[in-house]
Amino acid sequence: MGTAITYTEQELVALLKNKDQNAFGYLYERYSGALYSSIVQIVDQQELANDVLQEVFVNIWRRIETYDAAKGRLYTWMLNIARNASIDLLRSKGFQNSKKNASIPENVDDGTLGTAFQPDANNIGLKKAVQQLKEEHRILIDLAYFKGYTHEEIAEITKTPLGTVKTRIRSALTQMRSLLS
Amino acid sequence: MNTKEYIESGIIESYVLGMTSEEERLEFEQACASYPEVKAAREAFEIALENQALATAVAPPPQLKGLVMEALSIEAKEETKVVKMPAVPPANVVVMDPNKRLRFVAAAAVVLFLISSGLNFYYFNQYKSATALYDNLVKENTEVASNYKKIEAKYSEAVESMKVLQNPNMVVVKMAGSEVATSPDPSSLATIYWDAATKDVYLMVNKMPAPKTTEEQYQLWALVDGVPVDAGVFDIQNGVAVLKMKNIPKAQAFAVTLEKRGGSPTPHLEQLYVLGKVS
Repeated sequence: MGTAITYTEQELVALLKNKDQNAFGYLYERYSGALYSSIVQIVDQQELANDVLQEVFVNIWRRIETYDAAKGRLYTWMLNIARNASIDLLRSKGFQNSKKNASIPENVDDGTLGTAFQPDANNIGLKKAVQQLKEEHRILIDLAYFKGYTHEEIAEITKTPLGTVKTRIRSALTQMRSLLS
Repeated sequence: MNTKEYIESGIIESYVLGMTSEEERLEFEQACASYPEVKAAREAFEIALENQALATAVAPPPQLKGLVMEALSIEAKEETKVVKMPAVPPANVVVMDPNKRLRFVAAAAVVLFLISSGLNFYYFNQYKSATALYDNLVKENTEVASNYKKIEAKYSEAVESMKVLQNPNMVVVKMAGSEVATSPDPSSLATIYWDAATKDVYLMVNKMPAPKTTEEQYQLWALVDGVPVDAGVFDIQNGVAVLKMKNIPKAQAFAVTLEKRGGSPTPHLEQLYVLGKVS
């Protein structure tokens, strides 16, 4: 970041809504690492993660008009775009097949399938906080956040009543808050 | 709203991480708009999340930036492509003397105005009748839906009752007013279905008078070695409902008395309506 231009979030959003390419360059410099780390926590193959990051920035460009600052910060909005794109890929047929070919045993919370990442995807971002949770909580957050299953699907998979799943996820999330701050 | 409890419920994290249902999302956005402390808590978590993500960022491969910026400039070009209109051939202009032209324009304007008013009136009427029709349809639809719900509730009640009646484990105990010399209504009749396996007790009211006031309620008793044990209170219901009462592991007889609403610890025997022995 040679030139030390900084924007307030409001200024940045206004420029982005104007489709200012320099502002997008700044956005990339500032947030690509954070977003990339959120992607590799879900998609563990580097080439696919690269594609997702590119898709995420194109989506930010296309949908920036719909961003509403009253509903949350810009990073939160982008993080959700990145998570949705990653989970869409995770659930796509092509990805499922590439995973089968890698013939590595399924593991609910193992982040090292396929071409493993350096550093270990378990050791960054939210996953690091998740690693500190109790086993039963960790599996639920893994399924709900990193695999994108609905609460109903998780109840089915883990053979746990839906109410229990909801309560445990909420409780795990509040614990994660204290682990983050 | 207890905002402190709400803030600590995990809703903030669910919302920020995109894990809420549509309903929860709308409710949370409403809460943020109404309660500054909820919004402040949301922002605090967002900032913590963002700072943590920035601190543990994983740099993407350096060549990726060029690819992304190139993709964005293609997007930019596609958006600015202007659709060119075909050139309009010049109209044949009839030159009129200015006075005549002015009169012609005025006449044309009046004619256009009249046509437009007529159309406005016509379309407004069309619109009004369409709106009235629509409102009526919505109303009818709501009525049909609510009727359907009522019937569905009745139906599932009947299905539940059938299930109880079909269960082969059921011990049937007839409780009759004629078994009680002092019954206020000797024609009263009610039936107990007692599941021999689970010991669950179900009650069907065949014929019992409705209590005179809402302050009163019937109470079912199980007689266990001569001692009356409370088996739950019930109201007289229309239809064929079979009511699930308390689980009774052991009993020699069942009886129903009229008690104050909510039931009594011991039965008032002068209000004993029906009695039936387990055979």
